[in-house]
Amino acid sequence: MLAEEAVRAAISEGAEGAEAFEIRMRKISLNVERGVLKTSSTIREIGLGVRAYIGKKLGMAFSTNPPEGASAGRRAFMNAKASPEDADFHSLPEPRRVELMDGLLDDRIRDIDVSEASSIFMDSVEAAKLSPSITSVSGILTLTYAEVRIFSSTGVDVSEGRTSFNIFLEVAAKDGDRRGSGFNFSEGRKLDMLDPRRFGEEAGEIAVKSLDSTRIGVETLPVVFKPKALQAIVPFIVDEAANAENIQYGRSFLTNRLNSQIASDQISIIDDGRIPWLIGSSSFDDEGIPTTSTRVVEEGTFRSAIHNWYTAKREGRESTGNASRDYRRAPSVGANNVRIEAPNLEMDEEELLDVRRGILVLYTGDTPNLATGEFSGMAETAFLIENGEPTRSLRQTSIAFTLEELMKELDGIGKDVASVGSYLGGSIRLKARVSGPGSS
Amino acid sequence: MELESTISRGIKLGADFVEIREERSRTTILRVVDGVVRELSSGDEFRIGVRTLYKGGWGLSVARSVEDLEEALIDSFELAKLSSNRSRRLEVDWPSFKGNYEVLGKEPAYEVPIERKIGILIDQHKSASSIRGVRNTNIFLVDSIKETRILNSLGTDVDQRIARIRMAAYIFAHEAGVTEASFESKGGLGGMEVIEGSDVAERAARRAVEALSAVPAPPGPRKAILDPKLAGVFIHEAFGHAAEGDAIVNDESILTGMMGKPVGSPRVSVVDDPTLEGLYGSYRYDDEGTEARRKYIVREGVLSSYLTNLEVSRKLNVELTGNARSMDFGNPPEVRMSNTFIERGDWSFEEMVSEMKDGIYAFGSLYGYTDPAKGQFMFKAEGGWLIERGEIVRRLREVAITGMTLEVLHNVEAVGNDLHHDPGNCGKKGQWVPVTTGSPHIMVRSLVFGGR
Repeated sequence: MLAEEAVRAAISEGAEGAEAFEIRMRKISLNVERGVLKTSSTIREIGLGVRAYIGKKLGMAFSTNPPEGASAGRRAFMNAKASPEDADFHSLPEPRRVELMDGLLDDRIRDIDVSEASSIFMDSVEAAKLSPSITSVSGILTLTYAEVRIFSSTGVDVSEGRTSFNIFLEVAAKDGDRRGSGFNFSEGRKLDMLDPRRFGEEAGEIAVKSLDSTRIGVETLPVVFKPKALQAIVPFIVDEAANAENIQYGRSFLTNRLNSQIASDQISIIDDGRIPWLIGSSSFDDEGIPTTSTRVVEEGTFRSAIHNWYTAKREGRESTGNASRDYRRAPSVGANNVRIEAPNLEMDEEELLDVRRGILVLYTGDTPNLATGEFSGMAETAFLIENGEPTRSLRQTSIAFTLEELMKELDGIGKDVASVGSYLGGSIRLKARVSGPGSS
Repeated sequence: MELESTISRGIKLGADFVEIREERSRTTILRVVDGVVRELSSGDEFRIGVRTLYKGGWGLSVARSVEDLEEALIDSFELAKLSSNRSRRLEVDWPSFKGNYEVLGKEPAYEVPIERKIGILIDQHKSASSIRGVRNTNIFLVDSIKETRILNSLGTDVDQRIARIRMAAYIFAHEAGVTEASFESKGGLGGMEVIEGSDVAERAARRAVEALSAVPAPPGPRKAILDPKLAGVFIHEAFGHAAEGDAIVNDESILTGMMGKPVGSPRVSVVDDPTLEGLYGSYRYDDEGTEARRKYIVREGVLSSYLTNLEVSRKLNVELTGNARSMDFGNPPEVRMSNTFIERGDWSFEEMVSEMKDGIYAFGSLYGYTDPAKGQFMFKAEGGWLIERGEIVRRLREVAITGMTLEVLHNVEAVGNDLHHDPGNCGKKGQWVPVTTGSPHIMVRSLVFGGR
């Protein structure tokens, strides 16, 4: 009723149309420090965002206080009144037939209590303590059950429940003067996707392995990026570079490149919002438009940007179901799940690592440059590959390449397909410039 | 149930400590793209967070109104019991604080008609877009007023009303197939006076255009001068996080056991000071109600203080520094920095360039992050200049820098006389809080640059 109340209030004030985005969620968060549970918390949230328009003037308002739905509607109208015209605004989203999909709501997460959540988390934490050299395990587990509803005066009225888990662990190791650290993270919509023990062991193994470290100089080497290292790189091609807003304003290196070849013809990159249990999946986007599969790069050619309603109508086309928002903000454009397909370049892990000298990157916290497509960042968790085997961990090593080099010159993609953040795909190998302080 | 009686009830239930944080905020978000208002949103939020401690474990639950308080208290206590562990019972003997603090500014932003704020952003757009080569302007203005009341079972009762405002410009320039971007922001505590008269968009535009002729930075180790913005991010990311007391308690920091020992060049002193008037990371009381204070983290190269909250001060048996901060009512306060900066030295920038002879002058900051356990950091400068034979010769782009924190701090050879502060938002454990980074120009013997 909250959404209806807000829309009704905006219209009765004089708005020509209004839309409400309502989210109700329950969140359990557990925080572990030094291997023991430290804080448990539960939050029940209601967030309401309202958009209203008068002609080409658009305003928004939000509230977290349920009885104030009507006042949020009135304030959205007031903001629309105060706003200058936006010639590119055409309409609020109109209803589209939404087919509700399975694979978004895990009963186990929806019904879980804090003590069960804690027992799952502590399994991971205990599994991470696999060596006496491990001095500390810290991390956070969050389990969320959310009901999203979008209701508008134009006839949109959709709702669904979604669940998600999000976990990360940081492990510190020490042996004499040697220090190491390991990191692991995962998210998805179904708790069964997580193997808590294996998840913890992986973080612990990395921490112990990173105790032995080395440094390298400036070289051009084959670099194998594991899926966790790619989660901020490959989806960026869709999320930011092929984002219609960034293209329309000329911010992206893909501006004016539609229908041109930007990648090897062996490669396709797809935005797909309907893969069961993946974190980027939903039946409809944050404007109530059905999610779909968009072939952004098809056999090397840039075929389509991703759109929300505003950017699509600006070009006289249909939204691709990529509206993304929280209740405080206007909808932006965002990727759902980003798949990479390159069947002719697939390799086993052994083949990928089969280089005389190279680097295996497990994680990098960096993202590419939107304007230039260049990537230059630190290999935060990385190992030297010597004769096909990952050996010592690398410190202070940065890697540089461009996204076009990645798309054109990747010479292998792993069969180790994993879903990490919005990336769904295997490891990738390409030659890149690496830079460190010199051998030690 | 009233706030005070909820606390008594919590203690009667058996909690060792009860804390209530009531928060009310009002926010306006404005975004102007290429001179067109693309986003105008405003709203109110209200919540009451109830935190309890029982045998070393914390519970946190959130009420949406005073009527929900009892349920939130019981929930919070049950959660604390779940996290508790008899073996690590925490002694509750902290001092208590009473008082109130208000910063609304000379001209509170919430009283200013939205039309005037739009006018300011449009003017920013006009000054940036009049510069040849500018392709796209994105100007943001976010102002908020947050009223917080914190009470606890030890008698703390503080009220704080803080208005924050920040204007930011993200400008893209384009010429002959090359696109570059630049970012500038201005923000602080107070009202419209914080941002009025600022030329953030024009400065960002000039730098974006200037970058069009840049070449990638040469990779490898080099002598370096860092500008105040970048040196500020370095000291925040690489050093400040390692000095946060929770990382020390958990043995996840390279600074564990280093108190009183040299951690850098004697030229370097590092301060964290939430009490500086008007800065973006300032406050009088932290999110546990502790009165904030200025402290040296490093004094003339020697580690002299860790940053603490209630729990960490007890576990490390050191003073409370007033560094407990949380993103909002739904998150527990963690040890965080406020306004963190390197103190002024006595070198001029020109003296540094001439002394360095060959190296890189890196400036601006896109982001940075650190691994306090290994002492490894990375930060991304917005750009740089190649210096040869004591002369600035060529503009560089994509300047990524990695290093080992303590090595770099020991390698600081000169500290400038031109301290400058910058607003930003710092992420840790999924929580973002407003902070200020700051520094003069600094010269470092060797830093590793990434690049093509």
